Amino acid sequence: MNHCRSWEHGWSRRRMLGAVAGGAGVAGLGGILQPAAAEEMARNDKQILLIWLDGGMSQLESWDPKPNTPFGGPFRSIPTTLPGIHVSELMPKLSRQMKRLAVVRSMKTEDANHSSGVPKILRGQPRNRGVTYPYLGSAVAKLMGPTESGLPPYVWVKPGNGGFIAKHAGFLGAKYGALALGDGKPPANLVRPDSISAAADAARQELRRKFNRQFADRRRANFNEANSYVYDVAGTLMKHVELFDEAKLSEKDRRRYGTHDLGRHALLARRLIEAGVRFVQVTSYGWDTHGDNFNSHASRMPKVDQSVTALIEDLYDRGLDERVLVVMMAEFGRTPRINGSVGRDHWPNAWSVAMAGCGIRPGTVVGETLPDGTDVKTTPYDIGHMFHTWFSAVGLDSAEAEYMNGTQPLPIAHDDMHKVDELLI
Amino acid sequence: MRQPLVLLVACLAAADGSNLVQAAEAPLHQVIDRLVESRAGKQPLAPMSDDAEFLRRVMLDLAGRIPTVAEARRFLGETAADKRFTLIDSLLSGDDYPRRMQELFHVMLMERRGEHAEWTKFLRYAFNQNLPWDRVARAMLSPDATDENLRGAAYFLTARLTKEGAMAPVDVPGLTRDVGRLMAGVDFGCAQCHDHVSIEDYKQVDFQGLHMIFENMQSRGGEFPAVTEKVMTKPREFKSVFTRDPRTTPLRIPGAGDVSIRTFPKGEEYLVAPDRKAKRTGVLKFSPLRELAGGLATGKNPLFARNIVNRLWFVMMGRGLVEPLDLFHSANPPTHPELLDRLAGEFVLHKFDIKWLLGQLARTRCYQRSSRLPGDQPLPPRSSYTVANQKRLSAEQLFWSTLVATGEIDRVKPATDDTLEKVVARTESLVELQKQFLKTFSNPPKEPEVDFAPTVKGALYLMHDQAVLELVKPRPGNLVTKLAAEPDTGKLSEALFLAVVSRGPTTADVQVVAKLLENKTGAARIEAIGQLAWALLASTEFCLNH
Amino acid sequence: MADAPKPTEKKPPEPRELFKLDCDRQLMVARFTACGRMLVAGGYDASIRRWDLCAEQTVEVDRVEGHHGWISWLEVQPGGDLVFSADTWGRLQATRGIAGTPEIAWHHEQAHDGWIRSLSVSDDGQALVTAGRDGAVRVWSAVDGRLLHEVKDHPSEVFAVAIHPAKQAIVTGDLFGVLRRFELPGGKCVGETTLAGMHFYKRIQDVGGLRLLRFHDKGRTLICAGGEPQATGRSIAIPTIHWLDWPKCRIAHTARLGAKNHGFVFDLAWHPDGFWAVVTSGQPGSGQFLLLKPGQEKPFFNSTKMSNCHSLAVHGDGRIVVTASNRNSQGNGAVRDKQGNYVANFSPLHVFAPPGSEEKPVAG
Repeated sequence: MNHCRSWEHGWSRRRMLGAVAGGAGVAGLGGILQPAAAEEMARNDKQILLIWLDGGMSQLESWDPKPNTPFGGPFRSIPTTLPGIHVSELMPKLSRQMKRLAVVRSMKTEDANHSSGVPKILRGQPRNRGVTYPYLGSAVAKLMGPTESGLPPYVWVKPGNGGFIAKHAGFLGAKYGALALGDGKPPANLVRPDSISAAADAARQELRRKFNRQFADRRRANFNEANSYVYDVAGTLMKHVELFDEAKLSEKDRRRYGTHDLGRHALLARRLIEAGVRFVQVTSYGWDTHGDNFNSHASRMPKVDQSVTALIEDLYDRGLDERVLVVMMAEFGRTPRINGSVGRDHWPNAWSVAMAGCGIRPGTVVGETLPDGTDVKTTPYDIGHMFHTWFSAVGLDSAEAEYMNGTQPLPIAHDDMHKVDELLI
Repeated sequence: MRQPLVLLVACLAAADGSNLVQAAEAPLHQVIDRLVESRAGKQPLAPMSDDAEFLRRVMLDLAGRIPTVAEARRFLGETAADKRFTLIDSLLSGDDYPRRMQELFHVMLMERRGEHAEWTKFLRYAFNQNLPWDRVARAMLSPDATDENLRGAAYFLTARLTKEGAMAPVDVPGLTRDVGRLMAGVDFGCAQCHDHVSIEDYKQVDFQGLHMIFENMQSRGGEFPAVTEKVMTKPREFKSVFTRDPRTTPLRIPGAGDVSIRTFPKGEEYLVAPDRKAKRTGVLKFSPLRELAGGLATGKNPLFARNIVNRLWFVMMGRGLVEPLDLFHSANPPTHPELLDRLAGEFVLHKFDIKWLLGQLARTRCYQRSSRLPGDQPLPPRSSYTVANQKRLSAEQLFWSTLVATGEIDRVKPATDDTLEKVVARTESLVELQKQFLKTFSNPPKEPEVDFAPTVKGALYLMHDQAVLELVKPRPGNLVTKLAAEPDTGKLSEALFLAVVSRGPTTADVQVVAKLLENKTGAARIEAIGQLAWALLASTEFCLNH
Repeated sequence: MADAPKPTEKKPPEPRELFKLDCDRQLMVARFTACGRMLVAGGYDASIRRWDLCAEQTVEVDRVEGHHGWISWLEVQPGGDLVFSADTWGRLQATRGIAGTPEIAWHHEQAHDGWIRSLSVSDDGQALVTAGRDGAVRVWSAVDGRLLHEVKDHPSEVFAVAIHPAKQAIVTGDLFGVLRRFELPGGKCVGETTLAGMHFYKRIQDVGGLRLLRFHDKGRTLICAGGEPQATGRSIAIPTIHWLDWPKCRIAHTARLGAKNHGFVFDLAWHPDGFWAVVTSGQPGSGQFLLLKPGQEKPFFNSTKMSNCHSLAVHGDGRIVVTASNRNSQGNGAVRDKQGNYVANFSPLHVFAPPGSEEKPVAG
């Protein structure tokens, strides 16, 4: 097992840099202050919804089918609403959304391991400066902050456990981590028990704030800021408790999105976006189909097809497509070669990413792979190119904007890469 | 190109005390203050903490909890000039100290990987006996299954050799890395497959030469943690994924260098032969773990002493002289090089006596300054130590302190001399509360608990959890009940603040209390007192050691 | 008594590998022709592969093209000359003269809309039944490809189908491990049984465990084979076979042929010497070829030397062919050969003499 990979690796280095830079602030809380452009950003109403298919969806069974070729697998391809463009037969609904989507078929990234690949892709794999970069959600939380809703800017809807995942924030500091809603459920203890009236709660919180103000006077401020922040977030979330009430959902919506995890979580994501969460990530696990890849995709893809189509339709129906960027991707694609267990292994060499909405040129297919799907035929794009593109789509100039890590300025996306103009309006 | 880690070590002062001719010049705590204050230059100095601030701080550090009201009143009322030193000594010899150390070292060494009764027993024994740190470390690195008090130390190794899923291999490289990090302050986990890309001192050979020791070892299983070793015969072969050149290394101990492998004819490898019937694993003539323990956990190894003094300094002062704590290397020097040398040297001279070192650190002015800087000067960097650094409370410190603060311990404790621990152990609701506190306020497994990282989860828990809310309801014997019986607002404020935040109230505090309780009687007044207690429990002041 | 030596058990005879054939693509299924002269197979390149067994040295001869995607199933006509093949794009084909000059007897380009999951031929060779991802189950005349019966809108995705020797019933097995019995003619569902364990759901994925249905013993027994899935991702399972009393659909006997992290029974055949020959997939990269006496739970022979065995067939003379995958076909998706080519995995075909054949000369 290679240890040159995990969050801890760079986390230590981040702390080291804080030390070397001569006291960038309280350890772990460097960068807690909003950027100078915070006010401007608060007026920016753009939002991002990331659908993450953890483990690696097969590009050959989705966006880049190669039917009747040695590695093409058993499935057919079907035409889409975009003339000349075919996708896998496993995505009949999305094939009819193609005029609203943009697909990059020429992704070529570096890492073929899950443990290192996931963070690398989600961090946009910038040039190594000995700093652990934030995941996309934390980056957006930092760069754009919460919307006017005051809701936490980075919410992660995932199967399994929830919690606050500070490590996604990298050097930005815990505050920019993900609020993870395990199985779409609200954080534990979100609901105020009946034994405390709203007035009593308000009174005790006001006392807490008074005591804190006194304590923080002439002490290092960041500790109290961090501690106060988590109470503020808790309070804001409590005001949106209806988001978690599935009983309020229409039967029609439930049917359209699907009653499986991905459908339920995508529907919650739509509601979180509507409520004003800046960045929502929906994760579906289990895409690491080393065995029985084709039956797996036959079972999985229709659920993606269903819920993502419903999401795209709803964003368009509500006019949110102009404001919300939707991205669907994984840490890599899957090997053209089919292994002995009828599975496909890890393949960063040639894979696909799809996007839609805010700032994205609809009905676009960028790049091409070789006829057998093994490699990219056109200009390959790395995840850094996508980060530039997505930042640009939501109104961030990634060539100009910088993070400050103590005294160290850092680019927000790989400085050797650039946005892909074809993908942008 | 730099040479491997051993050269870094050669540049360091030997820490075995041989060069410390003027060791007896002054007590260590005075030397520390001289070195810190001379380096601070023009940085503003915070005044010394008042007795209340000092008492709370030193109790949290050495007893793992805040003082009770009685303890606070007693200390604040004392007039002897040396009462702080007296307090330090009594805490170091008190009942709470071994428990606090057990909790502190458990979190530091296991990083929330899990618990084991034998491990707890080992740590408790070690701190009850004040075993020297080198002895403690050797027990962990080369466990002796025949010593009932120390055998649980093997959990340090075995807890890192568990599978975490059907497809996940046992993480032996992770163990290698942790031994470097936690015992020598060097994290060369990133040098497993190639020389470290950004830290020149960390070489692949360092990793591989240490890693072979753990690859040669297995968790034995059974009722207590234990390991077995195989006979080692060959140097390790490895390749860099960059250069692909085949290389070999013998054992390599961080800070001590190579140990050649001694081989014996077949059948003569053991001092004590293994005996299956007696379930005895045997004693090897050449035991790599014993070599490791001997070469690493010794005063001759400068990394070993530096690592632990830096960690204990961090515990007391809120910042490491080298930060991150596990990245000692030549491009990341200590903020106070001479100070680190002195600490390490004297610690070795004092036979790795942790209690002694903590006592010296607590005696410093540096430790006893206020965390508040009056006036309007900007706060100096944390590394100046001229204003006390605020520190995160562990889940354990929070739990014990909450029991003390809310008077819950008085409520459930009939008049006995039982320790807090015993009271909790026999009270079901408190065992559960302890579990919830640990779950809520600990970091996830394997994340070092170094930074202050409050969470929404923690906030919501304190806001809404039923068991927490019970603590601030009036129940016979607890704080809120006692306060409710106090008609005088001034006295009530004094009792409240002393109980929860271990200090008397400020004028502003009294005003807040008076305003809230104004015109309230009966249930409304009691509810308001509960709100006050809760607000202080949830305050930043309470959840930090400031 | 504990120390008394065990009576020396005579090691049961084992099959003996005679030779190995190579196929440059992975195979899904292999069968011997009824005449015994040819080994036919189909897989990931949509062509019917043929090996002439009568030649001095067994050699591969011309392929039969016409299919698309993958050939998902292939069966020979009992006592006849036809080979029926189905693919993942929906084509169903009957090929005549496969042992000589093949000729397409009939075909339907869209017998189903998409993947034909399963194909089974009646004992008399006169009818065949197919099931597809399109939710349809169809019975065809073997002679001319005429559609005889149809079950439209099957309530779930069918993985396996079989036709009873009396041709008055078909049985389907679906993704959820549910068996359904349909009456012929009419196609009315007359019974339903759930094989608990032959389905697994997690992380938005259903893993179907019921992969193969086969009537045996003149239709008195229904064999349900596949696995009891334990996970998604690698899709591991306990390889399992149930023998059911027909028509009561009650489990009479079960054999679980591996650990939780193995795979599925991919194919099985009754051997005239009185045992079942079975192949399973395995994880990762392993798989089993095993021989099992009726009514037993443990095989009397088990080999894991071949990797991921996908198919097996028994020749009239008792020889057994097993199609496997090349070694190291797993997890090395990025590896290229010495020339830098990115080559597909392939299927070696291992031909065995049955156990005890040392004493008994093999015919042919």
